[in-house]
Amino acid sequence: RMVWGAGIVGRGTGGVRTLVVSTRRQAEDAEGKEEPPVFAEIRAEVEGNKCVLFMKGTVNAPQCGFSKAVVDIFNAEGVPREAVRDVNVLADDSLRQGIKQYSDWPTIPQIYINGEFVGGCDIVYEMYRNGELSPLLREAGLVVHSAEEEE
Amino acid sequence: PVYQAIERKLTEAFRPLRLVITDESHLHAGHAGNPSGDPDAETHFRVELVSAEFACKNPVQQHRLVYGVLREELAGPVHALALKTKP
Repeated sequence: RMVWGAGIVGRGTGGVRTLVVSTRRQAEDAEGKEEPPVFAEIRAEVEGNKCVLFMKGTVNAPQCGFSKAVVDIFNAEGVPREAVRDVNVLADDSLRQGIKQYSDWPTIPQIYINGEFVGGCDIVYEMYRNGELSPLLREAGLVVHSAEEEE
Repeated sequence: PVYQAIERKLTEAFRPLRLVITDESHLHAGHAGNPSGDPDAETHFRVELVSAEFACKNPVQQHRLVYGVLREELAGPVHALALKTKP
């Protein structure tokens, strides 16, 4: 069954929105129940980008304290801004509800690294605090240690 | 009432060694989750929970357990729930 679908995906820098129009065959799970179309979008995001941050606002302009906390932590860890694919759930309500179902997680922000759900703000903060986050980011290739001194 | 429901449900489900519930709604007054800034809003909570139920579970699993118990509140008035869990 072919379905014409349109989705609006919020972009980070520059506040540019991209209208995506695509044909989509609706995915069916083993029981023949159709999964929500937005799941395909979400899957494309988390599988197509090393680090995805589903958040309120953008990395340049977070609109919620919890989302901002994650951005601040990534900055503190030295993750380059371009390495983070931010998805603004405030720009698309079907995405906002869809990501909660997809992850089986009721709150925003949500962090995905290499296609895997890492956690929300509290978990990432705790990992940052106890030193677990640095090695995870390094192994994912999200931080690069340079021999040069920073200016 | 929301505070009491959270306290009751978490106590019953987890028999916590430590349970601290803070209503942080007033900190978010004027934001989308608490637009009225009403002192009785009960929209944003912070929960600290230590329970044997969390043994051998990673943080994501621990948080999922808590979210499951508070599913109704999260589908209703509670807009944000900050969690700190420990086995």
